[in-house]
Amino acid sequence: MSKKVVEVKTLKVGKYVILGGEASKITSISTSSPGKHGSAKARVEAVGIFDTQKRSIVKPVDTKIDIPIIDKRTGQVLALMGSDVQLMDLETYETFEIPIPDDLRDQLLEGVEVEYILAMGNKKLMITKG
Amino acid sequence: MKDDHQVNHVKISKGMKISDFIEEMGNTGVLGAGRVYRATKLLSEMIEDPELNIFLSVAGPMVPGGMRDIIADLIKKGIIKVIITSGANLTHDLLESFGGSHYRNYGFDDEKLHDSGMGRIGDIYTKSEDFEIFENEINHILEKIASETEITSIQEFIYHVGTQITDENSIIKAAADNNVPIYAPGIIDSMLGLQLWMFNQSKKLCLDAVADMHQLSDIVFESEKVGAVILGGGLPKHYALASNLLKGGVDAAIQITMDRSETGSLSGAPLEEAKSWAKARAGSNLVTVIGDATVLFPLILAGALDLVDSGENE
Repeated sequence: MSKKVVEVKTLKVGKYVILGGEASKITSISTSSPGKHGSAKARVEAVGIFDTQKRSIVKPVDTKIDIPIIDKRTGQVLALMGSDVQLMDLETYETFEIPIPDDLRDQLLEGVEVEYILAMGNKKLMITKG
Repeated sequence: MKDDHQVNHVKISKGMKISDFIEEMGNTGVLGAGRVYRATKLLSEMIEDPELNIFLSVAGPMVPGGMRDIIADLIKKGIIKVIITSGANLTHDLLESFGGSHYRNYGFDDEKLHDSGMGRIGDIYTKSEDFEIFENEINHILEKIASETEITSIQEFIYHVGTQITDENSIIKAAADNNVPIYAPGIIDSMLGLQLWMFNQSKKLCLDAVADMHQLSDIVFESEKVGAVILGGGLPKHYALASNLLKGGVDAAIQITMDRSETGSLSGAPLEEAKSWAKARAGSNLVTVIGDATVLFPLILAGALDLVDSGENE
């Protein structure tokens, strides 16, 4: 299960929403009172977790919207392979390769533990631990 | 008609009929009175001419201003061939179709009005609760239309909306029921357009802005004659006249406006100017009435319908 439905009014900055089919982190929410445009609305701005693209949506606060289920997981670096790193999930022992984010390039060494997220079938390396 | 080199003074009597009133306007024959008379006469001729198709152009707050029934009636009576209007008039027609209203006598403290959820259009008011209902209802209709098509022309879109309306007093419903196309080239600039934009964020329903030109052009070419009745100005006025360009222009036109001509804008331009563009034919019968369409159109229409009934044009 990769997503669930919530009311727009429950969204908060820093949490996640699906916009344009992409799991995205909310960067700002601005609301308008009811008026000519209809019922109270929220304009949600977010940045794609995997594509870093900025997106926005305007919806009535009482309508529903999809949010991604974010799975925060721990892994260990097995090998560095150019622009990708091979990781092993410390719970499932599954191994896979994912791209190395620029800001973590220097910190990745074999054996280092990392945190990565799993959302809507995609994985992203977040930080190194220890 | 009395000696037409003489200004005869208007005679008013108690219980006067509209037709007699209009006749008095004609006996005076000058300034606004003369224009009202000539517009009434011309409108009655346009209505009676079986070879002439009437294009009604509606701009400004005509629906909020109380003209909804008149326009819907003209459609139901088969007097109008084509309607060209703004997204706003469509929105306000839908507002009432979904149970909302337009209001009066709420004062002019605009900041206080905002706080009570009211919007002001001159001395007409709207309530945001009515717009919330509009938002709800129109989204159901958009869902229905989008489930059947992803792209539609503006006229077709308005037609589809009309088939979903149950209010017998609705202009959009009357047009759909009576096969009168409604063109609204500026539809996006309205609350209807806003809802369509927001709807498209999650489901595709695209308006093809170019698609209506062909059908409208066909109507122009298939009409022996075209007469334009233009309330206000704006996009609808231009669209009504320009659609007749390829055929050399309209054969007759009446405009009711308070827009001034000094700025050179189309809205305030005298109809005669259209002859230079072939939007009106050389020799076409053109009358511009200066004044408020919410007063003058009902008056002129009442007078014209009386003239038509009385057979005076035979």
